[in-house]
Amino acid sequence: MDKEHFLSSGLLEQYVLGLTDPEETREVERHLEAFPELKKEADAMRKALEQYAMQHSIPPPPHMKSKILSEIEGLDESKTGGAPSQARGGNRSGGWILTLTILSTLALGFLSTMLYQQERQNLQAYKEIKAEYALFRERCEEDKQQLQEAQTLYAFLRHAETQPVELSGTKISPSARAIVYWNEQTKGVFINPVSLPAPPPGKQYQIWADVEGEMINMGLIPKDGGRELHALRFIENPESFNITLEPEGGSEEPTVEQLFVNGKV
Amino acid sequence: MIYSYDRVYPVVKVITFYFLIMDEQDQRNIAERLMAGEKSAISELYDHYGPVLYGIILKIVRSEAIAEDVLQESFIKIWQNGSAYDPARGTLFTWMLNIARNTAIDKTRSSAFRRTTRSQLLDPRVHEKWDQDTQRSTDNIGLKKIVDNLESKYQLVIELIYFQGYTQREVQEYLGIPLGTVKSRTRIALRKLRQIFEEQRIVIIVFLIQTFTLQG
Repeated sequence: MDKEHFLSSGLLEQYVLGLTDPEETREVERHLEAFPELKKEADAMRKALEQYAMQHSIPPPPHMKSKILSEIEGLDESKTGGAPSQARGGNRSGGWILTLTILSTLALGFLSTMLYQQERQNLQAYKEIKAEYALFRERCEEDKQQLQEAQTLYAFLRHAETQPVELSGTKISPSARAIVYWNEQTKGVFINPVSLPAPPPGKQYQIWADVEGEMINMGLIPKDGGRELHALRFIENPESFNITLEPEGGSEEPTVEQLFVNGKV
Repeated sequence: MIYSYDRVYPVVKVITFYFLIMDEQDQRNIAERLMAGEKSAISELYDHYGPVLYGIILKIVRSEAIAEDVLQESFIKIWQNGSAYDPARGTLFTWMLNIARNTAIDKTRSSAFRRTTRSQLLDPRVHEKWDQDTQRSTDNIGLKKIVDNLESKYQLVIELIYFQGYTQREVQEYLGIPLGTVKSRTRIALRKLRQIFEEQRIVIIVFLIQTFTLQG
């Protein structure tokens, strides 16, 4: 029989399953010797069968192993007249359990490492999101506050009783300008320093109300307030507003020589 | 990469299962020790093959108490006949399987066994029971899917011949199908089985590579 004919005869499969009679077995074995690839094929099928059989494993009751081993031990002792035969097998009675233990430990270790890693990643992600959320909230709060301020200011500026008072430059700074928004009804005052020269170091602008010839402090203009509107102290019955340059922190009395802008109400 | 339980669990099970299979070198080594009469060999063989022999014995005798007896008898025979094992005539596992199978079949033919289990053996729903057994045993090691890849008509032929020791003629009578069909099913079953396990091996390797390289 040639190789192809042999393969199509199905003898190889029968041989692997142990179904061949002695004559057939001899024939198969002749072929296996002659063709190494057939031997490989037979081994592969045998292995697949063994693996398939393995899938039908059912663990026997745990006590079975020691029972069988001691039975075999007993056979030997009766055969050899009770001679002590301390076999290595005796020490290995826990082998099955040991194998199981090692395997489950490995599997558990494997699983827990992965779970731990995942947990760590999740925790990290959670922390990041939490920090981001806190930042976001803070910004939200800031925006809300700014919006409220802007709305208040807007309402003030739109108020029917709010009147702008223009302050124009004096001889020492003809180009300087500022506007005071003044509302007698709501008792609100805001200064808009439209264009005041930048104050020299250690100096700051202060605004005064002229009430019956007396200069009354209305407050300081922040050094780094830029062109922002700034709230001032309300003074009753002002005749004019005046801005002078004073030492930082302001003065009790205005330095009249340093009057930059003024304007009548 | 996120490790979900669904993804990891089968991998762990498959790895565990592959640890239990001895390769050919291991089988030869242990066969030599068995032939030389070393008792540690029988203990190791029990660890590796006790469950599968017990599973197959249980398939034949269908009673746990009887299966325990048969398992014990089988291992005693394996021990006593160890020196008679001829590696040229097949693998150690096949040899052990034959011993266990024949011991189990002898048991089913004993009068005591017939008395206690006659009704069971005559049960026409024997196939159904078979399927349940297969399912139960494979669930035990979580590889139901691999077995499921083989159609049940091929599973049945393999189980009758390989596990239960039927000849092809006996299968023909038992299933009521032509001998030619039995033969072709046997051939196809073996080829498919081989294919399935080769594919499975590749899947496992790919799984392992994915698991260990795609971290983070």
